[in-house]
Amino acid sequence: MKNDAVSILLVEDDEIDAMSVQRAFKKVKVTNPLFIAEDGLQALQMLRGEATEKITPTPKIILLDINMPRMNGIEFLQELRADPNLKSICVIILTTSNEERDIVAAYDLNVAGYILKPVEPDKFVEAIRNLDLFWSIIELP
Amino acid sequence: MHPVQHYDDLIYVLSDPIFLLSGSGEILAANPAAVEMLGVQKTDIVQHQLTELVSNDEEKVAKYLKQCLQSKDPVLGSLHWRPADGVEVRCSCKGSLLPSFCGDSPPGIILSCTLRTGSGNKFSMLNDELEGLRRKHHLLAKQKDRLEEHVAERTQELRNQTQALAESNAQIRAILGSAADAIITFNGDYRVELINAAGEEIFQYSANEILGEDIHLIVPEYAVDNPLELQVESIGQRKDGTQFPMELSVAPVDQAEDAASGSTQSKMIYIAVMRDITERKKAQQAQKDASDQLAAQAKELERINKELDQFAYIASHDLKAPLRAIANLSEWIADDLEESMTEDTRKQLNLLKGRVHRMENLINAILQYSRVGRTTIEAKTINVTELLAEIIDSLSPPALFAIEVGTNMPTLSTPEVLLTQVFTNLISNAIKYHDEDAGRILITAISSGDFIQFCVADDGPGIAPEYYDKIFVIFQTLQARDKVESTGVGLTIVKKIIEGQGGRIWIEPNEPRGTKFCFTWPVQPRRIN
Repeated sequence: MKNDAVSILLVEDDEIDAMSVQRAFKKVKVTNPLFIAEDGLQALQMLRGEATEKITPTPKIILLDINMPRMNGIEFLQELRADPNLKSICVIILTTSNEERDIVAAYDLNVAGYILKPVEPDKFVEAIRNLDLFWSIIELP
Repeated sequence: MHPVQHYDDLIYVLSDPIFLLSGSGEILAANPAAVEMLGVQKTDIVQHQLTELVSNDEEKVAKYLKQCLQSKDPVLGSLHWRPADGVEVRCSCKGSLLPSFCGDSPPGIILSCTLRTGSGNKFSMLNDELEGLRRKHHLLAKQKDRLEEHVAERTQELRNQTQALAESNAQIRAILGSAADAIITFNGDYRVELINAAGEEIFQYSANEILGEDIHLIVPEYAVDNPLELQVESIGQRKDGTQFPMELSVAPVDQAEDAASGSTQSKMIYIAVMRDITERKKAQQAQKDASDQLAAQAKELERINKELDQFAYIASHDLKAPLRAIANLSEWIADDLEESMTEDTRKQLNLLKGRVHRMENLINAILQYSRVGRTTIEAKTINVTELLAEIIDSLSPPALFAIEVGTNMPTLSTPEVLLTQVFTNLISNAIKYHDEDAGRILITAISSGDFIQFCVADDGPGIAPEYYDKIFVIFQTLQARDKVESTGVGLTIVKKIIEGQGGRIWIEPNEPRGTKFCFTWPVQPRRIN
């Protein structure tokens, strides 16, 4: 990661999956502030400062799960891209869904990448390591 | 007009027999009295030589004619007329010169005959009358003969026509009788005039019962305002009141009255051909029912398939989530307890990891199995030799392994993905379960009609024949999963794929050792409707 100050928003309903992202970040030494929302609705509230404190500065990276209650990942992404203040945020899907229709829907909404969560924890750590490398070479808006 | 004809008109009205002759003795004209006198046809007289018709000496006749031409006054003579088939008559005649007709035509002779009458002699008068009567009698006799001839001819003509008509009628009757369809004619008042045997049978009326009845008795819906109907569906009504579906063709025919009677009044008759289509309708309905049923079944199948798809997806997804959690948590526990971990604890944690991994494989295998055959994959033309080369390459067999591909591998049109899956599984199995480093695998192909028979033979440890069927059963493994990691689904999926294509898979022992997996695969892709 180029800039340590950039905050990352993780939208994930599974407690263990959220923990594994945190642990992996620790192992790979990603020190950016990490915020966690349990579903798409809460994520939007946190981004807009509705019913809760707004994340400041606005996160530049969102790690997004797809299968969540109340508002799933694709629905959240649609809302995000429709909001002029939020539409340019870099989104990376982190999901178990291998369904073609989900992949297409995500890329149609301009995700920067689509990652399938590996079952083995060390593979997951590898994925996060590579993600960090990716973030270190890209420019963010 | 020919000059002769002028005179012809003139002499026509005269009551005495008069002949017009040319200078050479040819009879140019003869009036009706002359014709009657001779009792022949005019054509037997005119244009004939006088000498042909009289029995007088020819020389004398010629001399007489010459005299007529030269004398200013009429020349008396007597002629004995004997025309062939005619009346023999003697008469005295006066021959007068007829000067040139006009311009340059030669002169002729007018010959006027009087039947010999005795001067004042009553006897000869009676004789003459008798002669006259005889002549008339002769004429009448001839006319009677001619009439009789005509009648005989006409009678024969009529007989022939009657015969022809009878034959034609017999033919028509035969056609009507042999027709399977009802043929009925009715007139302008809709009264039935004719019905054939088939009609009697179909409508259950005898001809006597139905003739003269209104057509609506048997075709209640017949529309009178549109007489020309071709193959229209209507309803027929039998004698017992039951109705049946019917196909009907009606053609109007104008049978104008016989010309001989002089009138040309239009007489319409209608010829109707009717067919009982109860059976056809039944068959049509049965066909429709069958196709409706098929459509409903297809719809139901689609619905079930969709449900299964959804179920399989959700099941695998929801089963994997806790699995992932278990894997993560066990890893973290191991990491966090690194220092205080004993040998046993470490081993147990590793086993835990292994089981989690196994479970993930099993879930994936079930998902894969449930997906087989439910989506139609497009067929591609592929060369099996090339396909096998790719598969073997991707499997990266151990260095000492020899995999031989037969030389007669076909080119097929087939869903490539499915055939790839089958070969990959069989070849990888042959490698995985081999007990030696230097194993040999042989892949062969034999053409067999619409199918190709492929065999993958190895020289490994072989499989006991009692397990030949069992190993295709889902989750069945021949060795404990702890010894060889295997989901036990691979062959089940392979079998499902092959049977989905209409093929068959079986096992044979390979000589001198090993196993031979054989399966049949269609040359053309199977149509799934």
